[in-house]
Amino acid sequence: MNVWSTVWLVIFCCAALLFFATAAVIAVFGARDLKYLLSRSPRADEHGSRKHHR
Amino acid sequence: MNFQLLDWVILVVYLILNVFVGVRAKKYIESMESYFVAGRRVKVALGSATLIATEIGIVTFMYFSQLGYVTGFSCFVLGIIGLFGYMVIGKTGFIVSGLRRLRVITIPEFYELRYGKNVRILGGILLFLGGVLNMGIFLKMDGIFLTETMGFGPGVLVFIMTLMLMVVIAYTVLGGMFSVVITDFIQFVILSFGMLIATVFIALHVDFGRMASVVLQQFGEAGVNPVANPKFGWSFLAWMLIGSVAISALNQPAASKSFASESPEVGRKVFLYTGITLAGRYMIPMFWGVAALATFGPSQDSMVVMPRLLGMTVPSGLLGLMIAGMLAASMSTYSAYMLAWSSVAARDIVEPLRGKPFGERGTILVTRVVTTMIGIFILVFGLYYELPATAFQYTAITGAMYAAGAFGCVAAGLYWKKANIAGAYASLGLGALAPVAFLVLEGIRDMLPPWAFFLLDVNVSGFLSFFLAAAGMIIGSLLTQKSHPPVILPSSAENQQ
Repeated sequence: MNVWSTVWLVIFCCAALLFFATAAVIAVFGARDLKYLLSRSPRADEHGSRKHHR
Repeated sequence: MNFQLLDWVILVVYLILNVFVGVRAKKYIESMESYFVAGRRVKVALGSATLIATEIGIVTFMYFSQLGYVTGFSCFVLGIIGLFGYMVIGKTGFIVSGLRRLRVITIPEFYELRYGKNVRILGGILLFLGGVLNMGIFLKMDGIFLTETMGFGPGVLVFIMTLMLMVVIAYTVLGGMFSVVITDFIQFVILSFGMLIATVFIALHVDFGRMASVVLQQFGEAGVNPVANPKFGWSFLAWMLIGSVAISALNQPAASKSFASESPEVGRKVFLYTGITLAGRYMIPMFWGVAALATFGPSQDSMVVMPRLLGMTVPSGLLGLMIAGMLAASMSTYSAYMLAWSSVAARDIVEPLRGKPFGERGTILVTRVVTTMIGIFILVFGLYYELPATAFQYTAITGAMYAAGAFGCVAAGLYWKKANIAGAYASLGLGALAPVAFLVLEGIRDMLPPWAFFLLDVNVSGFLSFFLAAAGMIIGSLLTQKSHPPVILPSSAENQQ
């Protein structure tokens, strides 16, 4: 394996790790944001407020 | 092939779940803004997930792996260039924050604010044509991927392409951006997992040392040095450097995700976090392509080797999950693209030409009709069109058709006070000229004189499109300042900040 091949493979490994780590973080926080998006819809708010009133 | 009954069950359950969720999202649509930009209530993590899901599709896996197979490690440089483009936007908010602040839904809407209605129509037509041509090859690539990984062979290609399209059209037409955002998130999670499975099994199957020696044996220095590679070179790198910023900020499907964000600041951060994943998103499929080269050797069909490798290396059960992940990636890309291009057609072409507004329900109806028509077009186009270059270069040149002019018009419109209508026309026209010339001349290659052969170099055409668009904007505007005084945006002071 020459130097350039090694350099590209190391860059690839770093990029892949960064991708999967960021994807895991985005998945966790994204679920929270999705819950917010759906709960804040005016129609959903109506449903939500009905639940709260019960 | 490892695709068994369990894989089928996983795949079918996944498809049903997608349609169900997408259709259920219909209840959240209360207005045009909720249909096109999900009521602008998308936060950073969700916005990043949906943008990443939009930008990854089977087609990106296919064209990046094809590049890996035909150029070796030297294509990895694209990951670094793309990372740079997104970081510029993510750090500075260049273009995306300005557009989000103006609360536009489509990019041509900005043209009307800054340059007038006719520029909006011309920009809309170019954006729509370039965008639809750009997605013309998506479905065919997806069909090839699925038939190869699942082991069917090319006979069932049309059936798979049609089925996929019907599922996507169903939930995009009904649920608009809400449906796109919700399904994008599910798809993002599944596709990330699918990519992880595929990468792990390929890395276990093919030794890194063997990959390196095959690349050097096959390509020599061109396999590790992009400047020495005949498919790339300086013109390609320069084109990609400008294009990575322009296409990232002005690709309507991606820009829609920024427009859907809660605030301009959130829109900027979405690009920043999405950008962090970019090098990996590009390089992972390229790595699969290099692994396919090391496994099958150089004299195979560059389009089918990567899916064949996946079908061979990933075990049953996990293969179903991985294909569901890939399918997820594609479906999110289709839904976002179809919604974006059909919203441009409805709002920026049909309505201005009609002369009076459709109203919210009318606009959504036209959008749904156009979405279905785009679906039919890409089905037919995908079956019969033969690619003139690598698939990546085809998507880049059709992207340049609208992005070059759009980059000139939007960047100058936001940040240069002298930009005017004449500059906008020149930028849009000249920006589209080189890519259109490439696509047309490629068809009559044999009739061309030798001096015109440089126009058939896809890299030269791509670079020229951005150069001409910028020159058109600057020269056109400066020569006509008195006859066509620039329109100052009401919020331009804010945009300069």
